[in-house]
Amino acid sequence: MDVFRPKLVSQTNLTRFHSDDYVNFLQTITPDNSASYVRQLQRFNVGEDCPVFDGLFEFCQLYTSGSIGGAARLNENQSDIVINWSGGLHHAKKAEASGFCYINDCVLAILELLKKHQRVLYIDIDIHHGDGVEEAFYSTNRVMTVSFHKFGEYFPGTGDVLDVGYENGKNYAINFPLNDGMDDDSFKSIFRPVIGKVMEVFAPSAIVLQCGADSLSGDRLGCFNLSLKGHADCVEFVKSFNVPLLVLGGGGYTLRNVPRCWTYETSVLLDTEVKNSLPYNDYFEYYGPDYRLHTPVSNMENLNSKSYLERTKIQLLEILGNIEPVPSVAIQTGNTGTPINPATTKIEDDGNYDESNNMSNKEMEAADADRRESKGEMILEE
Amino acid sequence: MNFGYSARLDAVDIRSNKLTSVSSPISTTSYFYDAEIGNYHYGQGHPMKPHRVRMTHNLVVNYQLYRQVRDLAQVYVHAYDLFVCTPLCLLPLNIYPSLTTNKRTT
Repeated sequence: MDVFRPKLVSQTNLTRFHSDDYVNFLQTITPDNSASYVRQLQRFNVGEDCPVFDGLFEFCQLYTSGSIGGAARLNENQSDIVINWSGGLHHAKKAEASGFCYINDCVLAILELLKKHQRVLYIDIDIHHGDGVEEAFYSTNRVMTVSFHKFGEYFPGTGDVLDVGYENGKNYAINFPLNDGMDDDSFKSIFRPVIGKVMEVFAPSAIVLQCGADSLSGDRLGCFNLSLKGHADCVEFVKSFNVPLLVLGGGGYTLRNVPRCWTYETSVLLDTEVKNSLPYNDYFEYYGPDYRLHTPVSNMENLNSKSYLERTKIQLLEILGNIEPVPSVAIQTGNTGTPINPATTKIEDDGNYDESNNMSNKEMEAADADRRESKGEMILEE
Repeated sequence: MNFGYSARLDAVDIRSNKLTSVSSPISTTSYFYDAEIGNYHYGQGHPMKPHRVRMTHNLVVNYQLYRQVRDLAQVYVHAYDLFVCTPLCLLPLNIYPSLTTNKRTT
């Protein structure tokens, strides 16, 4: 694994998603001068959940730089997987801070990936709905957002199963609303089929995975009951598709559990086994009394019945079945060395496979298949 | 857009004993971290603590999930001392290759 200190992105880069006046405001505001910006503070929702603190703008720049820099690295084929645990602040809106997030680095990273990739998939396993990202790409079919979250009297209040996108983006926003007490088995039983189907019908060439650790058992704000293994199973499954992957952090408010989770997921992404007993480190006392990596889950009740999960899963699979196998805009050529999608290599097994042109080959294949058969037959065949 | 990785990539190249072109693909996984991130503070009692990223990084380091760039600097210092402290005639002829193939202890 290579470690990078991100180079700070400029203010202009942040305005690729956010409005100029909002970014200007974030740059100007300090705890000392905030009294003279009362109107803007209200307008941009900076205050309670998203307080003004020293170095606020540099903080935003830091975490955003890691995500945009990581996306750029994926674009340049210098990495297959990029990790930025500082990022994943998915609630921020175009001109509004929300839910501890000021700048939406997920959106900016996806915008960077869209420079090269025709279709980008965003997966969100934070306990909160990834509303900022969904909103940003609600009307496009080039980005599919998939969020698994607690729904019902819970921040931010959005993410109903019926919110599926708008116009071109219809059916390209997938939401799995959940109740308290999700455990490993239940989560696995919905995550794998839904993401498997998404990969099949959407075939993204890059994935952004937001790994908010507040869906873990015992989180200060969360109410799920996932263990580290259940959480990391999602990472492992997404990794198994061998598509360029940007892994981001996100929520996570029980201080001793977040490092456990993200360290374990780092090891999963590196295919490295780690011992259960924690090595000595600068913050060793935080991990007492057991000093182990894996902690037990609680005995809380799982309020998600099997039938509810099954029903919602089928509902989402139907929505996914409605989308065209390959979205509208055809890409002309891929760059040399575009990471090969495993699905593509399978199709092109006859030796005529042209690596430098794999995207257009794939598009042609799909278009051919479309002409030959009706959509319904294709789904049956798959 | 240029994010200016070159300096870092040089270091990485040497670490993996590959003094090849900077743009060549080196490894499959990259990790972005700035030590400053843990210093920011949302305020007393606020549940969001950027400090958790520093704790994560520290645990990653102590699990030896990556070889630290700092170790690399020590290799340089060692090689430099060797070069400066040894009379020129005693230096092996292949000193330069040995700098690049110097295996670090893990």
